[in-house]
Amino acid sequence: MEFVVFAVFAAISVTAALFMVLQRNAMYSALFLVLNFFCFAVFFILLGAYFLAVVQVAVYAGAIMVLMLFVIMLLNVAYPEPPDKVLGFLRPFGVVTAVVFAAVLAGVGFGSKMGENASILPRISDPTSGAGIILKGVGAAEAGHVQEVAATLFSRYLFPFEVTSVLLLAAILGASVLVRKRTEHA
Amino acid sequence: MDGLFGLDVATWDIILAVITALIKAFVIVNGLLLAFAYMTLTERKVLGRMQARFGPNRVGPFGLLQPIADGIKLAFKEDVTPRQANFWVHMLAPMMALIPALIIFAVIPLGPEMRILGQPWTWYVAKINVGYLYATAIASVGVYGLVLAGWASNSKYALLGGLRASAQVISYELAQGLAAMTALVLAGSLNLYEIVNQQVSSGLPYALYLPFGLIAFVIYVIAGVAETNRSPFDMAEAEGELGAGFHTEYSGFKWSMFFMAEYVNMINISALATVLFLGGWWPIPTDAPGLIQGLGPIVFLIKIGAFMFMFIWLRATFPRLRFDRLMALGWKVLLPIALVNLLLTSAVVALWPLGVWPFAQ
Repeated sequence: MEFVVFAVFAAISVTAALFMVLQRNAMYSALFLVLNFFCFAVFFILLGAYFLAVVQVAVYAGAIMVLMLFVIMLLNVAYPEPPDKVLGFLRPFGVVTAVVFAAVLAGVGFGSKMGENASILPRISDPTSGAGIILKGVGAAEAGHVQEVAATLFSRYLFPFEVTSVLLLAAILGASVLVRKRTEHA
Repeated sequence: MDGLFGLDVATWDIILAVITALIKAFVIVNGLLLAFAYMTLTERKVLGRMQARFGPNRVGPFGLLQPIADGIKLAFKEDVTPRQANFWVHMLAPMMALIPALIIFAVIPLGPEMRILGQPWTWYVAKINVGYLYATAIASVGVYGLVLAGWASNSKYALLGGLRASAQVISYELAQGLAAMTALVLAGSLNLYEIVNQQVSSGLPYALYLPFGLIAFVIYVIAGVAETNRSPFDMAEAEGELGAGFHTEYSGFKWSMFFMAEYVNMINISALATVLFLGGWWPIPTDAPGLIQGLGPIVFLIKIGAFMFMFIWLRATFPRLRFDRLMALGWKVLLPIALVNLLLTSAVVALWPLGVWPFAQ
């Protein structure tokens, strides 16, 4: 049962990711990315992390991608120039990035004990799996609990959490300073 | 232990639970759409009375068959897609608006857990620990309907309407979320059933936790009216300026899907406000004897009905706000008040040693 759900949504998410990259129309790319995010929410549910699933939908699908759509709509970049003209010189870098990314992915995949586990999915409590890296120190049963996530965030990861909020605050301030109308001083 | 057809009892329990959930979901979706249909009639009749006229009264007794006539008309209307529009996104947008509206209700606990004929019975489809977050997450997905409809129509009125609507919804989500968090802090839980249960067992809905609960409640309702793009916050479809806003280029059944989404969202906001601030089935005790427990859902539905009447009343009373005033109200008035309110509530909850709200009565 778990495997069937995982297989179906894994197929959908990989397809959506491919279409996101291969689409010429930026609007379609954004929508396929949203579909991909929903599939990730399903994976989080399969891992028992309901809180993360809901946050995935609320933050990534519900907020960030809506802003991306705003950008695409307002800058009218839905049908951009053919990439060969604009980004042709970036091709070698793209190849390098792809190779490095594939290497990292393979490293995570083979380095984890996925093959030895009875379950097809890496458990969150398994610190060697990809999910474990994100949530190290939180057990599978507790990962879905808001209390556990909050306690971990405000104790073990307090410093990175605060640094992130300062970064976000700086970004907000920077944005509002940049768009502010310049007032003439008398 | 063997059950029927050679399947063991545990498997049968799972199958039974799935079937029950499917039936409940079917009833809820159809109930919401029926409520939508008769809400349109109620709105037209109440608006009519408030403006000293009758409203629809020709189709059937008291005009009661009017929504059915409207539904048949809309279903058979020509469904026009503008030639310059993006066909697939134009098609997707109404679905992205309606589906989230319909699935939010799954976590709303309409009544206390009870036993009917000895069998356990629940008045919700799902009781999840992050129930409130589920509702807000799904609601924020509903914004896609507005944005995509505005973009795909390839019309400046639709685009402006879509931008206005989504900017408004995103802005008011903040004030609404902070107001709701006041109730969540008081309850110490995100589980909607738990939130109701705590209000019922303490005998006092959070709206009466003076003064903070009441402030949060008022902010939640104002933000809820703005969230649903209803008058006086219906900037998105200001017909004098924008045609019909984001659904200018929609007709027939796709248009009625936006219409349904708006009304179902009103019902959702009302139900969430009832859960968070009005104590759900309060004053029916959760552990009352069977028959009295059965009154719980009725009390809940009456509260939702009161909210729906308020939506109509507001529409009949207030003129539309200007868009910059609307944004200013959201960002400069409601958001700071909600934030301070939440801080003070948290301080009281954290510092008050007795576990009893000090300002109640």
